[in-house]
Amino acid sequence: MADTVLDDRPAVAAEWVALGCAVRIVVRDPADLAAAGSVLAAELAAIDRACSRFRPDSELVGLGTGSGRPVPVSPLLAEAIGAALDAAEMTDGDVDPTVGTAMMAIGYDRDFARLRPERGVRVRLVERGVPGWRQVRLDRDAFTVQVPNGVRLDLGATAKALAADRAVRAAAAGLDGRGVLVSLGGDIAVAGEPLADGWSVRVQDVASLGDEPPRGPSQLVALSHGGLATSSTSARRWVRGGRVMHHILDPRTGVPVASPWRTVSVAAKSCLEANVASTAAIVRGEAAIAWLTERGRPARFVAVDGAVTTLPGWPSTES
Amino acid sequence: MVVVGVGAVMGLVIYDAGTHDNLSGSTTTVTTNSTSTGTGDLATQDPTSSGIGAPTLNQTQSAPQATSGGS
Repeated sequence: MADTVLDDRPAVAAEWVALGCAVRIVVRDPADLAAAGSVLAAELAAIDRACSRFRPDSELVGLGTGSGRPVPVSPLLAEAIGAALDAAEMTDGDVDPTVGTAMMAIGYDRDFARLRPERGVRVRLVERGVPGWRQVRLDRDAFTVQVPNGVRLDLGATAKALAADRAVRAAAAGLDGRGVLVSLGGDIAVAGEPLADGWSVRVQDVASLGDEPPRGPSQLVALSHGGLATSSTSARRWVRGGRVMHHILDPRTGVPVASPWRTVSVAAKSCLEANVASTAAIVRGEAAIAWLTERGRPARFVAVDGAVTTLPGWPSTES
Repeated sequence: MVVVGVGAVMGLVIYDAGTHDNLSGSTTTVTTNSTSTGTGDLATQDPTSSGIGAPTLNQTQSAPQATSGGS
């Protein structure tokens, strides 16, 4: 059987940095790597042009703080804004794309690698809810978006996972269904025929490259289809106004959420769904256990003190 | 190690994950107060929930092809 032959081959991978995160692609057949890598690179470039909050020439930056009038957007930006609005609806606003101004207020106003430590700067942070996703009007057929005056969108919670899903589907289609794994900063999408035992993924607090060992508790799991995403307050931390900040905001306060969970991982039928669920779980706190259980999401929670809780569908930690 | 020409600006590096084992590490290393409520390998299949189609995850001992963490 062809499967048997293919399974005997080692998977091959390539990795680089884009969208401010580690990018990794893995294929089963070495001959597929160049083509799959090209597909992924093209997708990342397109998403960056459409959705970047830090590129002055991106479409999203061009929207500014909203004009209150319908503005034409590209099909890709319309899809990305649609995904963000769907995420907001799915999570009752726990994941909200109108956090752009709040993100800037807490100091996350440039690519994370370019943030500089404060030196003697005193900043008074005011808790104030974000404008709210319901104020954004998207016409998915006409490709127009209406953003109220003063509202700045941030698609950071969804665009990366959307890109992973789009890229992995396109890559697998180009490879006649042979297996592909795409990881964008630890948000993972797989498509095509998986390895015999599934794609092995190490779940941990902070995504790492190469030989870096995990910090904190970690677990190996095998994923055969769909997506797996991890959100963590342990990543992207900085100091603002004497307070330690992280990148997961509570839309109801506009400041980084104080969650009982430092890390949540979720598996779903797509990377986007997984990432929306994991981010919302950080925001939702203790109630996320019931919320994800009711929705049949395999999930793993790491509390602030390192204690691990898994939900049905997530493999037992005992071998 | 072989450098390939996929996207010159990115300098993709190919390596054989099976032999270089760049991401290998310990297997299950949950070390603190694990309180699993899971039932093993089966994903919930509740057709009334949006979780339908959620993937089945399994425990594995294979060297990882990727890591999933915050970023």
